[in-house]
Amino acid sequence: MDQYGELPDDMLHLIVRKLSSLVCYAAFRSVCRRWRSFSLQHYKYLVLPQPPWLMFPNSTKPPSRVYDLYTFDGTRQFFQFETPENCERRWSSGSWLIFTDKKEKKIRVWNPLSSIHILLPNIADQLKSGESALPNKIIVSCSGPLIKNRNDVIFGVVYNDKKLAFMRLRDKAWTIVEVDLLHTLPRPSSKELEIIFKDIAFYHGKLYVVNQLGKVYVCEEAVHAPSSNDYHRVHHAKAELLIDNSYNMQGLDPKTMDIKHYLVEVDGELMHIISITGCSTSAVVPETSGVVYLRVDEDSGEAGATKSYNCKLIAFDYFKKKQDFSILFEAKNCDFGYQPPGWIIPRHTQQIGH
Amino acid sequence: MSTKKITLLSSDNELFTVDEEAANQSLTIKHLIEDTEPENGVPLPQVHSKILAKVTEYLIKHANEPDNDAAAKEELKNWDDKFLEKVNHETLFDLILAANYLDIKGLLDLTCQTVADLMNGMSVVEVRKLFNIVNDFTPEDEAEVRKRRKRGTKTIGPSNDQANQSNH
Repeated sequence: MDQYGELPDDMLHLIVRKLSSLVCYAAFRSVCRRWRSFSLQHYKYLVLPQPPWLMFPNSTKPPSRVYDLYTFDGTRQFFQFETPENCERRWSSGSWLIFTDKKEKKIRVWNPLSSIHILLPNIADQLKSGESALPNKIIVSCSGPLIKNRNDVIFGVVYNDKKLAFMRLRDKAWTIVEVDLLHTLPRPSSKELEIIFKDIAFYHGKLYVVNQLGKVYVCEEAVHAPSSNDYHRVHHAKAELLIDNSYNMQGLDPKTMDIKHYLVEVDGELMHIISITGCSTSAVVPETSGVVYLRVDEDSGEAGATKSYNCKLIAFDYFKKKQDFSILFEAKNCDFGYQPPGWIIPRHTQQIGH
Repeated sequence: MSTKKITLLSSDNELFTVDEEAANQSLTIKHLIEDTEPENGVPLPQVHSKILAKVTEYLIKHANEPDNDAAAKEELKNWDDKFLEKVNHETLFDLILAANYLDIKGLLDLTCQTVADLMNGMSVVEVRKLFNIVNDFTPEDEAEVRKRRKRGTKTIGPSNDQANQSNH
């Protein structure tokens, strides 16, 4: 009674293609000899999607460098690892783990599935002003553990709360992204908020960033900009306003409410997620906490084309009533460094946005 | 619309009758009819009646796939979900092989999806238990895996020297 172990290749292909994450694939290939030899012949499945890791400190006696990695599907413990020495901050992007180094100020990128290490230079070394560059969030453009083409791998970073940069694996230096804020400054009082970036994401090779006001900017040059080979020169790229979702935020008081913004890819679409916690006197928001989501449309850079699903009320109800979603923004005691990644696991993806 | 009936003959000589339209979803059956024009039913010596009953149930339900009717599509999807709900792993396995042999794309997709869904979120040990698969790795195999893992450890990146890059 060992029939499944003997499944023909054609059918194994069909099954493996439908696995939900790389961690499932990692389990699949360790089941028996036959499945392992199948997986060794077919590296292409290492492009299966992989949600970011959840990282929990292992020891109850802090500070400890040992962490447990969990996966999002069923929060299964995947394995334990030890963070590098002098590790300051930690992130997870796709199947990659990212650390900043307290001493050398370099950025270490590591993939626990393929054991690939990447070392990135400190951004501050490039800045002539001598200011420090403290990363708030670092992401990798590919979620899979293998690097097929060095041109396709891009790292994005928000640092010092208000600066944005990217670097491709083939580059020698970071490219600083100048965000075009000129024609979008609405109210003088919001100027402070305007320049605080809350989240970044790669989507179809472009770099997206959302600020505290709920405006989404896109930098299209991330893939095509010429190689920045000169480490001592500061390279620049531009990001332009794509969608202004700040009107959805009217009536929300940032002073009394905790408003968070995330850019998340869900089932092939980029979503702008707004998480709201706190009390509001406004009649528009019926509950004290909730999540609003808007679709960020690739092709709708033009005015008025924001394809948001009239978000505030509908989404509130939606997320409250439907049990079809696991919303995993902030797991308690979960260590993501500065900001947890937003990630939603839709059980019935086709229901999103309808 | 023609409602020509097709008779299918299972490996244990049981007869199943379905509309031609339903039967044609199986490319294998379709070709068999076109090539041999069988008089006493299409012989399917690889499929047992227990499995063929399930397969014909699927073929009949999917004979008229809705194109643009969202409600009908939803209904069909719900039916699909229920279709394999109470099927045990042995039958599921036979259904996969039958769908593959009969070349029914929809059923093959559905059965493989069901297997993948069962495996999603499971550990290695749980998958083995679920499908009754024996761990046949030898200590030598495991040593080989560990060796591979070690060899796979490499550092690449823009700030590394050329030697490291050629390693990649």
